[in-house]
Amino acid sequence: MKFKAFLTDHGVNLLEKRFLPALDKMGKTCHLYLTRDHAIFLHNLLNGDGIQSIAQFQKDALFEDYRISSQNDDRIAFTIDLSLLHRALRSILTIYTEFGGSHGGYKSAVIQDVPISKPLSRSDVLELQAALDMAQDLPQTLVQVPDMNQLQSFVDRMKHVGDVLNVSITKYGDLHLQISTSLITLGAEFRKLKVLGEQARVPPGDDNLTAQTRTRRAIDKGDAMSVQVSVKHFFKSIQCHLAKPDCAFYGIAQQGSCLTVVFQFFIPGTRQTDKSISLHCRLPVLVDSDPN
Amino acid sequence: MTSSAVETESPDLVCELDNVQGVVDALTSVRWKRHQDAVLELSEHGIVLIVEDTGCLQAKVYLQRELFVRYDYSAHARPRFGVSLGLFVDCLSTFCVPGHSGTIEFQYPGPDMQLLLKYKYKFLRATTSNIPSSVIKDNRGSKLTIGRGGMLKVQHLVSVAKPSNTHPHIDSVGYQPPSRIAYIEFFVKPQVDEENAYDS
Repeated sequence: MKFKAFLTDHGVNLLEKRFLPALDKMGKTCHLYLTRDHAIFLHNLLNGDGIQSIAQFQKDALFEDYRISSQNDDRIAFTIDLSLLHRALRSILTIYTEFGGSHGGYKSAVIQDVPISKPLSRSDVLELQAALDMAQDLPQTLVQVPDMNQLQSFVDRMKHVGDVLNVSITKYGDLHLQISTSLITLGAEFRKLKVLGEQARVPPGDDNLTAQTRTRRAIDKGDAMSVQVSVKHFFKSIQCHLAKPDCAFYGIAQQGSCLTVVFQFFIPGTRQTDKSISLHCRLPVLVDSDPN
Repeated sequence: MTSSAVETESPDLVCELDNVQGVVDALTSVRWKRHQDAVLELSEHGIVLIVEDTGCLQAKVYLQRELFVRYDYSAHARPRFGVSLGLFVDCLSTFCVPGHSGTIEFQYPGPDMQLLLKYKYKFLRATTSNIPSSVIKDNRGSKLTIGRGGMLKVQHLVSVAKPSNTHPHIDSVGYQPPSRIAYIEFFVKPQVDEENAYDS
């Protein structure tokens, strides 16, 4: 089992400035899964009820001279502490800025060891790959969040009110968030959002109804889905925008099995999706919720 | 609207407020412990929020009708109802999104006898019971008086004005017209031996 690659300057910046701060919010440790073509950071795919996050990079997005070999189809996975990796990269950048400018200076080598777990066994790697394949299913309808900063500040305040968030997404482009307890109902609705995937026309005369009524009708017509998730998980999913994505979409997976948030990255200076980087999260649905 | 019998009658109160942050500040000032109930009393003059503790401390927040951009009061008797102060404050502060000043509408009663608050495309409802704590911030002035029988009265003024950087030429003394200030009063009774307020 061997792996050796050089992180490019772009790769160091991408991780240090954007992805590691975001991924650190998902959980301190994660799996790093290396294949012939990809490096993938995975949170909570094998264990438990936490928020799952999948950050996938084509090898060229981070590395050059990428070499990997293992008896398990050239795949290696292990657990890594993100804050230690982050610290190592930060120190590399510091060294760069202090010594990098002067050409013809002294060459120096600084070695940073980032501890990792023992590599995952063959069966665990297979299980990880299976979980990853499962996690690639996209919801039929996705709505685009217009302003992540605004949503973050809103949910940050909302989370004082209750623990369980009801999320409804319609094919008309409505995102309805609601916290309900025995003492309070607090909700926010974002309408006329951009829709990816299956869409439907807004029923006439809907505008005079309350958000709750409209959402209920849309669910009854099969034009919407609704799930309950933890407010904390939802807040974490918003914090992914530390990775500076260009846009974000929420959608509910088939049969209401999870709430998915997909982040898109553009090739700098264009509106074209950068396919070499992908990031999405899956929020577990709380047991009580109604899959309709 | 949902089909409910209550909706056919006009509500006791519908009012609109254009500065939620001011009211959040005012109410936060009287929120001294986590679980705290309050009583709201509605009248033609405005809204009074009353908080009491163990028969020794009472605080009142007066939100005069002039604070509101709209105040339609149509009840005959003065309606009183309980709310959880903490939930009420947390709820209101949800709508203090920085850079988005909007009008919030209060309605009582809602279809199910709740206090109903609406905010552009956002809406919320609040009913009775529990809370967290915080202290007085940004008050405009306080007054302490000791009345007959040792009753201590503490008054605070909290600004409920719209942040008005738009008129920099107006006097710099920080003068606030009375219509833009919420009055808060605490009444502290000295503990009397006969009163077994702290007995459980």
